[in-house]
Amino acid sequence: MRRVVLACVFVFATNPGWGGAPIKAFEPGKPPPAEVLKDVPVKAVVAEFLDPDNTHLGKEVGYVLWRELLTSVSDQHGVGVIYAHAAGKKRLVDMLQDKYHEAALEIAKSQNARMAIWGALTESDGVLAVDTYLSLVGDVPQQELAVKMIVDDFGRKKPSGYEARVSRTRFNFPRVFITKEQLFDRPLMVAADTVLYNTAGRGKVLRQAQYNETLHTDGVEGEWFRVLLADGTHGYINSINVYLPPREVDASDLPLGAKPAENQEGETTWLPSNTIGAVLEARFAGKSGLFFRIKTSQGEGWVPADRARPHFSMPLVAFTAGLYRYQLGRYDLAASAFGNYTHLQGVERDAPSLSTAYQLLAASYLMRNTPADWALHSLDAAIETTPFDAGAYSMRALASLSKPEGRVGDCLGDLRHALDLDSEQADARNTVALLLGIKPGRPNPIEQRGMSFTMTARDVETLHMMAEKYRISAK
Amino acid sequence: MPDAAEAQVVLKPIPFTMAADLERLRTFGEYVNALGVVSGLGISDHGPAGETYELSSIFMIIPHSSQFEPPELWINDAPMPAASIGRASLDAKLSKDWGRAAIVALATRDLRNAESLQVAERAEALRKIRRYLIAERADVGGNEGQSAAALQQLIALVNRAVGP
Repeated sequence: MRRVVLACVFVFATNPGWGGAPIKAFEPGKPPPAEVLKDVPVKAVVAEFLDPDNTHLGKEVGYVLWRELLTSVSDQHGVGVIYAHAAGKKRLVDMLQDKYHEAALEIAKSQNARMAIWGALTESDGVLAVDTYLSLVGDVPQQELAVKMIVDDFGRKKPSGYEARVSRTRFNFPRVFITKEQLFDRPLMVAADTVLYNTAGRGKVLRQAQYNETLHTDGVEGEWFRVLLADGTHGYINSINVYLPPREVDASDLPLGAKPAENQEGETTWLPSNTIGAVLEARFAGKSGLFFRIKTSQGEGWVPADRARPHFSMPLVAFTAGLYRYQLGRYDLAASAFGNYTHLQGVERDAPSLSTAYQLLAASYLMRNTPADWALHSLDAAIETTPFDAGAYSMRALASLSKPEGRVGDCLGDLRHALDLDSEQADARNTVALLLGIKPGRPNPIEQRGMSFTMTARDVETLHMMAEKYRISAK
Repeated sequence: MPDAAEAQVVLKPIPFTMAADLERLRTFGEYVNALGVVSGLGISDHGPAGETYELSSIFMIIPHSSQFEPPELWINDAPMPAASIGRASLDAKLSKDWGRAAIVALATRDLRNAESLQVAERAEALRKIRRYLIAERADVGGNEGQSAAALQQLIALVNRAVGP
């Protein structure tokens, strides 16, 4: 039997790079900085945070977010995170005002980045209120984040034409209230062999710092993380040499190992559900990847980072980690990241971003060809979160069609709902047009497209009514 | 602003001492050709649990159209302990509602401007308005039905004029 499969439309060809890079930007009258990380296909630009209250933390919060994002994708090839900051000690207090967003987007475009991230912070009674925003650049939503069904026609895979995608390109994530201690007082991991200095800005060398070593930072000064030394004094390490692990992880149902390795010797402790562990240390263990040493009520031990649900300082990190993985075609990992986002505390305070995370979770399921019920379940949650979102109904229609032996009748309600909400919804119109193009009266008309769903005479009648109401022609 | 809206909205603080006088606020808003005027007041109370503030704010939409009478958006907060009131917590509560009201204000203005256009241009202008209203409505959460009412009303108005 011919089978409906789903596949990514975006394929990376060769030897993609990886990395993080800071650039000097936000200089009115000057052209945007030259492109960095040219061989990296999926890049994001993080802009220095706007600091209207002049807390002198806009640069520092930007550095923390930059290094957290890099840590969240440290297991991926082909990704880059660029930090765009004002030159020297200049800070983005009021130098840009309402042009800040446009400037961040322009910088992202000049870097050929697909995601622009920026934010603003205010301070009240020692608590920082951090707003974070993300814009998808160019045709990312149209192409890289699309779900496109392909058909397997006697071994030849070809596009079916059935598509769905998220409709939003800009996201305002829920405001995060966080203390300076929570943001800056934490373990960090040395990302490359370097040295510690006695001041922020290359003073006297205090000692070597080795790759994979965990240090404890208790503050950030510009681009320098201040770390505690064994004798109680401080040293400084440049942010370019730092990974910033999450402060805690959800380690539910994971093995707690005695060492950072995939295969543990002796008896393994399995952590129960709802186990939150404070991260004490992070370490790369060769081919086994990144591990976190965590402290839980069950004791201390190591868990694999790619199976733990990290709680970074800002929910945007989990969301962006999913976007990177989805664009690289690593749908299992994308599903894990988007699933993590939907479980984070407080994300329900911004319905559009939560709904989009559910839709991208569903898209990840559909693209990796997992049971359609998983995708349908996520899309039910998306629709419950934003009930007027035509794109969510359109994607649920596609998920219904992708079920083995799917029935057209199952998706018509969602298509009608999508068009009632937005008669111009392109994916819903396209799906109706394609279904209309299936000619009745042939022995098995569905077989024309190699799809396995079935259509009844009543479905045909409903489709024609929709076509008339919304002026849709058959494809 | 939703994806489909091309306009930029700028917020400017104005020192004003007669915030409770709504007609004067409206006159001022019309004079400076504003989309809306946001104002509010706080009433303090010294109760057994300490000092509290009851806050009330209003988003007054300034443009009017012959087809749509924009609502005045009031937000009343239950008394809050004075110690917990900070700028960050306040604008976190209010900014989403104000943002949505700004879209309604923008649509009201654009509807009014469309009235003077020729038939074909008017239909195109109305479709443009509908696009950003639909984009904004798509962001309405499952428990925010109330704030979708004005959007729904405006979309229905456009649908009646240009069809689905």
